[in-house]
Amino acid sequence: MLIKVKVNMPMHPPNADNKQLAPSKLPAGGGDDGPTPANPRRFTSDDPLVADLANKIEARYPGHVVGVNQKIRDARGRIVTDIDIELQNANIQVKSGEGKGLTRQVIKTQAISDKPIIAFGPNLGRHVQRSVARRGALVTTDENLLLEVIKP
Amino acid sequence: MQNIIIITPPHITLNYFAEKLEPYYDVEIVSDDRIVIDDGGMYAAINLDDYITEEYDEAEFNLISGVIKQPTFFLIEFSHFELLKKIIPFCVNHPGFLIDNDHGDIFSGQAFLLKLNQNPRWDWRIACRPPGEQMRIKSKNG
Repeated sequence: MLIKVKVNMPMHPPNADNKQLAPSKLPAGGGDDGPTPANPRRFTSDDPLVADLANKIEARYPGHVVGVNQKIRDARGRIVTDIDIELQNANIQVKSGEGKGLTRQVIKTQAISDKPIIAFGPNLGRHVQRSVARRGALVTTDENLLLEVIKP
Repeated sequence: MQNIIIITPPHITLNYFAEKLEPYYDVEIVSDDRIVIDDGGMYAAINLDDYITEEYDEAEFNLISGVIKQPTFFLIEFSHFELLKKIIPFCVNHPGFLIDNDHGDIFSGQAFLLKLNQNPRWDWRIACRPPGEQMRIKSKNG
C-alpha cells in the first residue's frame, strides 16, 4: 500500500549532470519566468520510461522535477548511484522491467538523501516490491497513484 | 537506473570483469563490490549484489540454481543502452554464465550474445514477460 507523504524539503538545484532541456519557446512578451502549465520543461533520458514519467510530472506540477538521471558521487568523485527522477519532495527510482536491482538502488539512495524514496515500475515483481518496502521505501506499479502521492 | 543481471558460478569475482574490460575501457574499482566503467559521458557499473536473491521468486531461483549451483549475482547498471551493448560481449562470453535481462528472459551468456549479434538493434526493454507466464532459460539451441 502506498501512503501519501508530504515533506517540506529544501530546494535542490539541478547539477551539471542533469539531463534537461530548456524551454524551446518563451512566453510572448516576456522573459523566462520559469515553467508554466502552458510551457512545461521537457526532460530527456536514455531510459524512455524515466523521460516519459518526468515529463508527465512536470506537465502536472510545473517546477516540481529537479532533474533526471542525477548522478550521485562520493567524496572522491566516484559515481555511487543515480537518482532517476529527483523531485522537490522525493526521489523516484524507475524500472521498466521486473525491477531486480531496486533493493540495492534504494539502499544506496537512502544513504545519500533524506528525501523519501519511491520505487516505481509498471511491471515490478512481487518479490521486488516486498524487498523494497521492507527497506522503508514506497513502491507502486500504479502511475496514477504515484502522480497523486508526489503532489507538491 | 537501467540494469541487467549476470549470474555466474561462485568462483567468479568482480576482478574477472575488470580484467576483461580494462584493455578497452576506463575501469575503476570503487569498492569490494563495485566497479565503474567510464566511456566519455556514458557510464556503467558492475555490482556484486547480495540483495538480488530476495527479488527472485522461488520458482525463478530454482530454475537458476538448476543450472548454476550456488549462483553469484552481478548487477550491471548502465546510463546508456548503447554502452551496455558495447561492454556486454566482454562480460558474458563464458559457457557457465546466465544473463537475466529483467524483462522476463534468462539466457545463457552465449545465447544472449548470439541473439544480439543476429540483431544488433534488439531492445529487450520494450517488451516484458506477460504476467503469469513462467520464466525459462534460453540456450543457444533454443
